[in-house]
Amino acid sequence: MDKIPLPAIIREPAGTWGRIFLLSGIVGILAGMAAAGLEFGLHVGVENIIGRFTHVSGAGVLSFNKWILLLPAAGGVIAGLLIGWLCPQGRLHGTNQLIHAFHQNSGNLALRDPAVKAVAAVGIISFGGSAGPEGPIAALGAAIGSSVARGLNLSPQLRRVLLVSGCAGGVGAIFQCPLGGALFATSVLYREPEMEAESIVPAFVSSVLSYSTFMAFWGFGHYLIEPPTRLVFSTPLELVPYTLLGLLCAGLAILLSVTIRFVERRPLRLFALPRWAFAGLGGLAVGCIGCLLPQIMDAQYHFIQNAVSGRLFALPETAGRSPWEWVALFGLVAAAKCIASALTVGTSGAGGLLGPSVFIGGAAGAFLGALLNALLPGVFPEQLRESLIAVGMAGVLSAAMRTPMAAVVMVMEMTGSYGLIVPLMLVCVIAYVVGRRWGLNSTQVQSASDSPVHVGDALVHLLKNVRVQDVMTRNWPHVITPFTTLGEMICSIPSGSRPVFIVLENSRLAGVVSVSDISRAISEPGISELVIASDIMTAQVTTIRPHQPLYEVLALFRSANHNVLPVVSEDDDRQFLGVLSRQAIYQAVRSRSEEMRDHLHREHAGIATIEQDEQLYQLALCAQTPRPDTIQRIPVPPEVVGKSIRETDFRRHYGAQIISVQNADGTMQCPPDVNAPLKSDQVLLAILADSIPVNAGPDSGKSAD
Amino acid sequence: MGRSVSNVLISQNLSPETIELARRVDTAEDAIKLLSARLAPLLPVDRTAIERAVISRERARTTALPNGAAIPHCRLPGLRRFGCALLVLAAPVRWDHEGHCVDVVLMIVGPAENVSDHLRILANSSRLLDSPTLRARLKTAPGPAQAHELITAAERAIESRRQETGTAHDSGDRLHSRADDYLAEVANRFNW
Repeated sequence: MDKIPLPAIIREPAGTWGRIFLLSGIVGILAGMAAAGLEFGLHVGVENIIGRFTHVSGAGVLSFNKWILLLPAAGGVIAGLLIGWLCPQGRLHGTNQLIHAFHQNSGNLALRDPAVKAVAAVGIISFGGSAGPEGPIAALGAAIGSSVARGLNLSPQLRRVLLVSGCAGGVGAIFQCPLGGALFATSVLYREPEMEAESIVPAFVSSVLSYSTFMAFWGFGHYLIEPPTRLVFSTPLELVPYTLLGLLCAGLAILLSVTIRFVERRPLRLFALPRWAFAGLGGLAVGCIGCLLPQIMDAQYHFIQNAVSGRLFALPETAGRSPWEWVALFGLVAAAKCIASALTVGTSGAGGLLGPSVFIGGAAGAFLGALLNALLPGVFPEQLRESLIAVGMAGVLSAAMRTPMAAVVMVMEMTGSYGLIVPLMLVCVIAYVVGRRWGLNSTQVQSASDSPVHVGDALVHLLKNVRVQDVMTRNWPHVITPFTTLGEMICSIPSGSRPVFIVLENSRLAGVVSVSDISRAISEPGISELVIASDIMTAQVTTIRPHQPLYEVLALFRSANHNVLPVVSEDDDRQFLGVLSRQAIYQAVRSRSEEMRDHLHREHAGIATIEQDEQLYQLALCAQTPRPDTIQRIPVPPEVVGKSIRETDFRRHYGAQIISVQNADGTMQCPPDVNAPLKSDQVLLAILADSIPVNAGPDSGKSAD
Repeated sequence: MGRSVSNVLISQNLSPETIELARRVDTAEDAIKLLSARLAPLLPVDRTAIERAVISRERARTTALPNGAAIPHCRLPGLRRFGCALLVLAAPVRWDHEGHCVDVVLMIVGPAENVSDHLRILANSSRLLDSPTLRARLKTAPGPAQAHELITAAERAIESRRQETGTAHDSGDRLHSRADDYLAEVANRFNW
């Protein structure tokens, strides 16, 4: 059976999307494998190093042990040496790296820095450091995406899409939250709750495949945190403690942010210590805290899991502990985790703060639950205490990463608590609004409009939405046959124009003869009858199709170096339909820009006022008495009528800089269109050089008003 | 400022081996086949490829000039250098359907990619063969080596004049219209 060809209008977008899906899927699988490997390293490392000396998931405190004191310092020194040796310039860590790469580095993120830091993170956590593997895996996933894009020599736009997809894959896998990972990766780029729309779908694909890959290693059918019962929001009265939780989460996010800023900036400046020594000292301080509260060394949420499930309260060592002692424990753990995480990450540069944010939030929820239980015993149901922990995990994350929407979804997926959406929304919004100023990602930009990536979005959007068929010229006058002589071509060139001749043989495109081809032939006199179009034409022509967006076509104009490109049929690349000129694109952009400007004036009266003021200023200038060194009004000299300002080169010939052109109807072109032909009824507003008289130009004497 | 002397000249690509004097052929196609056979081993390229390209070009538009000369030419993909071949006929042959009769044929084959040099060689060929004195001298040349010397000297004069007269746009046509004056002087030095 014959294959039915798909129309190009379906085939090409399907091809584009298919390619993006395929690449983001590959990036997702690689990120999922990296996350699984990292998780494996953590399991082995934690169990065999720090896990031998303390129980980070228990409720015990004040367990002094020289290993607990010294191991984090050793981990800090090792991580500091590793990072100092292999990525000495890598100042940014975790999510900051990928955000910087997205906005400032065209999506370029080399694999080495994130890979080294991921290994260092595994090391430092295994030695008892208080850091998370989630930030490094997010950066590593992003670096995988960027590397795949660079390996395939993709555009910066696709590089950024794969960078974000990689991050989504990493976060979606390590937190076991595919949707949350995609939302996180697309929203962590901005301080405002915005998303990188272009990357959402590829991020979904990547996150789905990375999650599936990760779970294939670690087993399906469980959540990161398993509550003992199905957690739900059951009464509006619960909004009161949740409101308090939102404020508490914001406060802890601020504490975390202030601490890490202090650690990263002040001591380094004061002592100018090498990184490894500084990391060692940081590790020693973490060891001290760990002797008091070993829970801060937990990077795998075992302590939070035990708190949610209630196992913590049933441990033998906690028998007889009063409610207020629990309040103190959870409160101290939350605060100490802030300080310990800042010390670990801030001094070594290894590990991330994404995981600690979740941990601190969980501890904050446990603190509030314990506090309510201590103040009003028996009033609140057990389920609220569990819910507060789950919801708290989202609260600090929301403020610290400035990703409220992603935090809501992430925690729902991490805990399977879809019934908590209302308190999650409330807590995340409160924490975000109160604490966002102290967010941890210094490289985030306010919103998409502040990102260098989105400069000119309006123009790009316009060029992507206008198609060749909308602006092409169908009846191109400069069509010749391969047998047209050079002399005939020269005779048919209208005065002042630089046409491109389309060569058609039996109505099919045979080639093009550009102005430079003709110029080359003209410079050799005596051959006007000896040379025909087929002798000088370019047969390998860059052609375009009617449905192509102008955005795609502009790149072809650049590579073909022609002002005009032939438009051919969708299915037959020799069936000539018309031409598209650069000028037509320019006109389309200009006309759409004017529409946008009118819309802008309707929406924002102030902007219209500014433009009116500018027009009035120009008119005032026109009314002034002419002086040789000021702006003068000059009627368009007859010898330049029909030529553009650019062709005429006013500055050289007349010593005049044209700043505006007044049309016959009184409207002003300011700045003037330097490519538009000048008309005899126009008036030029020009700045004249002091030393050059007005009539310095050729055939002048009539140029001054 | 004058233009520099081109590195791609007729005289550099023409050799006594590719010059045929006082030959008789019956048709234009015979003339093209004869010159193709001379050029093919030198370029090197398949003889029939040259024949096909040149004949196809001639069918598209004749290269015969009203003065009895023809400059059949083509560009071939994959060629690395130019090749020129000269045929001076003992008796004029009907060249095309337009009725041109030709007795001097200068064939030019060049690389498809190099349009500029192709045009330069065409321009020089047109100037050379535009001179009645030079054409007359070619017809009486005692041998290919002498004909090659004459063309070399004449082309040198063209290039010198090109340098003297500055830009081609302003002075080129003037140069061309007065070609016979100075080329006649050059041709008259070859008195055989």
